[in-house]
Amino acid sequence: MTHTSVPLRLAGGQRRDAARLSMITAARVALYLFLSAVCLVLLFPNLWMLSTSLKEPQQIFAYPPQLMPRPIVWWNYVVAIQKFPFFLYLRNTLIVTGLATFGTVLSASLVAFGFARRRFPEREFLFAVLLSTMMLPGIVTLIPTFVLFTRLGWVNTFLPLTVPSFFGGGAFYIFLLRQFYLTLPYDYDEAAYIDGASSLRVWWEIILPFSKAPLAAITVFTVLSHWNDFMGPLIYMNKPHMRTLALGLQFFRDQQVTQWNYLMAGSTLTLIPVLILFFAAQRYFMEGILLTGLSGR
Amino acid sequence: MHRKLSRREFMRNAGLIGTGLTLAACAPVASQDSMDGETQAGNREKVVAYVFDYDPTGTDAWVVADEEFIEYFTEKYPDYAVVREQAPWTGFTEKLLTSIAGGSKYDVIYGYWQWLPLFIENDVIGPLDDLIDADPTISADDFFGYAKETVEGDTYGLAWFISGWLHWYNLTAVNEAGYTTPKAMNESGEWDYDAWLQFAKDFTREQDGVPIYGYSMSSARSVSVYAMLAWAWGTQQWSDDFSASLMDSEENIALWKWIQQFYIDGLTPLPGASTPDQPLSFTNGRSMATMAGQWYTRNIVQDGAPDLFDIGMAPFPKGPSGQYSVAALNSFYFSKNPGNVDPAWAWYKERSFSEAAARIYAQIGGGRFPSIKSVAPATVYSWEDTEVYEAIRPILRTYSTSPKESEWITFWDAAWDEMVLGTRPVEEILGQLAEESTDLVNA
Amino acid sequence: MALRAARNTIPTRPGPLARKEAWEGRLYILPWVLGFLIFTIGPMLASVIFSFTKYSVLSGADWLGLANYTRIFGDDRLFRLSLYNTFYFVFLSVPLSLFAAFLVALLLSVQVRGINLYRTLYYLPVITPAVASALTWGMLFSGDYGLVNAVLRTVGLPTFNWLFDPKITKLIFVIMGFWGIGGSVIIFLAGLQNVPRVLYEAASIDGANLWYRFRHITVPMMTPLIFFNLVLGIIGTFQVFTGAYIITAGGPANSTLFYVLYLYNNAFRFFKMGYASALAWVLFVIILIFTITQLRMARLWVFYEAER
Repeated sequence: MTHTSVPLRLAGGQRRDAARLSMITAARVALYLFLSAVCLVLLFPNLWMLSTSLKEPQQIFAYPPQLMPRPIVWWNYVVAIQKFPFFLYLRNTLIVTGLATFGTVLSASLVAFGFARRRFPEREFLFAVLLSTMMLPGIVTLIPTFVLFTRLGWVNTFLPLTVPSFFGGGAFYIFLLRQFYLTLPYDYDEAAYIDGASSLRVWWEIILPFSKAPLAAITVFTVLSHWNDFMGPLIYMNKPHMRTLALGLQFFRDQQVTQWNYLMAGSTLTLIPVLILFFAAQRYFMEGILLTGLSGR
Repeated sequence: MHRKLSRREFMRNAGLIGTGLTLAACAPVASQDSMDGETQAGNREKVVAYVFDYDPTGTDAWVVADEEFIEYFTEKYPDYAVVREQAPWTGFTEKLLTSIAGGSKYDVIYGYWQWLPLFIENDVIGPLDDLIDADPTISADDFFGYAKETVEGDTYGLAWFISGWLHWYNLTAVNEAGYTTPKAMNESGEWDYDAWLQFAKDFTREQDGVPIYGYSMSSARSVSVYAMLAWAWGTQQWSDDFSASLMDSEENIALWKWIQQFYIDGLTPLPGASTPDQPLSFTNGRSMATMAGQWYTRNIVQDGAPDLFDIGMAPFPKGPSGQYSVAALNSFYFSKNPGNVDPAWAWYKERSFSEAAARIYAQIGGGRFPSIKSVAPATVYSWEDTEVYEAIRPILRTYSTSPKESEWITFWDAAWDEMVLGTRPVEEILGQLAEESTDLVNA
Repeated sequence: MALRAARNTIPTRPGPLARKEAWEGRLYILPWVLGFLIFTIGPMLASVIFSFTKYSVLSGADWLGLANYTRIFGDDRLFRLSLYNTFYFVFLSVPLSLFAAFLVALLLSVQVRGINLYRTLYYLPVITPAVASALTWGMLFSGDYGLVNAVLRTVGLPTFNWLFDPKITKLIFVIMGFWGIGGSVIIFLAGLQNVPRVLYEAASIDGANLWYRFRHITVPMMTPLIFFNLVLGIIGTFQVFTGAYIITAGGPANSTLFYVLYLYNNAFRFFKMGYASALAWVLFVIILIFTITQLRMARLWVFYEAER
């Protein structure tokens, strides 16, 4: 991956003179400044969270508010992971998130392929039905869905949190992938079909390689939604040893008291794996058609 | 070529991870089923009671108390087993409702006062009076009147934890100012609503450009706390049979105007001026006094306030019609049709009002009053003022839940906000509130 | 049906092939169809039935007929208020967030050193648990000593009690929405990478300037994703809930009582699941109308490479 700036390079053309070069430098500095300024504002909640996680209780609501913890209480982190079985809950979270993500990415990409690149009479109608499943607030389907899984005997297992992901994973992901698939040129499909390729092969050999960016994106989205899901584990898991991290974090609040320092320490720890995943995945957001060899047409 | 290989490898690895996770997901479920969680239901001979309980994980003292209590109960009733399903406070209702809809039946349910009328209306819970009469070990006279959650004469809850409401003040600041403490004023009979307002005025000031408030009034927005003020002013929110709202009564209008002064004169923080999670702003020294239940001792400790200043306590002042403290009750409710009455009732009474429970749960803190007369209020922290606890005991009174309580509260809250903002005259706000409230209970 | 026009632009093929393609298509979407039939349609239909009943969840339901719906459109003042609050929020928040997300994605797509770190940092607020960020809003927008007011005071501008002024609170939620644009940014970022470079290069050779290329290559190629984010933005924003639930609980004076918060109160505070279900289906129809309108209008401005 090169570090030359794409639009700026295009703007610069052949870099004929020093003036143009310094303009590029200035543009870059401006870009950094702007990004950093916005970043600072965007990151304020996280900074505050981190700072609270390292504070002594009486500093948390001190006035005027103090960003810098004094003294820095690393011990909060040790206490936080001892308040509930952190590593057991981490394992549960990994299982649920891993399975659900695997199921979503696999099945959503197949379903989206069907919606985007195969024509059949019911397609538009079914697509409208697909979209409509997002329009009903989940609050009113929570109870009947729970009753359904009770009838299936799935309560107290990870099944309600994972199995539905293998059936398309949800309208959001299918819709997103469909939109991406629709932007891919048809030429390659046509050529492959003329060569006698099956549609499954077209999906595997052409569509998937060109879709690393959206696949990485839905991976991140799925991980995040299951990682932070609190209501699902709450209602489907009765046994304490099957709880997840997002559920565990709720135990720092009771009817009257919130242990903010521990809550923030626990939240920070919970956030780190997703952050690492995101950092690793974003390489793929930047892998477009150019890098996968399409440019040589 | 290289691209294809790496993609296949990726898919193969993904497949492996998927399979591994599937196995991992199935294994623990199979192996743990026989253990039946953390309950003592292992022995099949035992008679089982089902309890929906609050899950205190994270609150260390509470976890210890629960363990001690279960040990006590198991020893005393070797033939009974109790299966508890537990939820954290966040999502507690969702968990309870979905479980009930899914067919779970609970003999004992951790209660919440706003639910009481709904639970009764839907036959989820039943009265305790017959059980008390039938139990030779206890009598109705053992309990304080204020410890009961009653609806139309029937008792549905006997509190395991009663928290009387108090004034809390910054004793250090009061002493530095050479001011008579509210507690001393109360003892000499000068502690009334004029003295309260004067206190707030005298302690409101500015420090480094940031206001310091004489009194944090935000909790008065809570309907049960407001009820206490209304009693002192000789009125209440509802007619005795809950058929009509009394919110447009002269006394209520006068009381709201009295409260409004605190906001107009800047004696109390506006909602939103403080952080949403620190509405009382007392523990960080921004307000010199506030009102709260005895449970507030836990917040004070959590926020580290005792290291910053001394804590003073006093009963609520005398109003034109008397002096009251509202008793905030935490009760369990009892099923109308319990599966096994004996273990369920044994659990209920031991957990709610046995001397053992009073002793064990005292360690949670929060100056809790047990329901039974034979046990003194519990204290945990050295700065808790037991004299004040004893002083509020005779003036405790229980707030009665109206038939559509939780829905009504949303009307109440909106009206209260308008009063604070001063968008309309108080008479007009309360006129509308009274009308809406009466319509609501008669709908 | 909404997409029929788009579909008609696809050249039709001979019979047997088309039939094979149709069966393949059905096969590909089969997982979703099965999932829909097993897990989704049942609960949705159940909630339709609830909407015609008085149902507390604690015990059985009583049939009410259309009473819930007549009440919603009759004398439910809070229904109208929450609908107004929600529309106000949707019309402000959706376009502003979409514009901000697109702008940020453009900036983050520039390949300069360290940009990977920025991309991660811009997504961080989305990962942050809601309870954790809720605490921060108080610190930022607190009337007395919040940072926002401190800054305004320093530059001599008037200050506000942001979280307790009914005229402002909805705007605060619009502003807080900017912390949640990370998801849309990722989608745009991913899309920007799929714009074939050859198009830029060809245009460059023709001497087109930056703005021209942006206007005539980037934007058209991105329309499917702008469309996606718009549709999803509207569907999601109509259901705005968490912030108002945690931070303001609908106040002050019901100014942040958004539709789904009111619906939630009915379901899990007032135990009126029947009424909540009726409210949900009314919202369903509203969102459906908006979405269908968008799907229809999409023909006019969304450009699909694959449907030439």
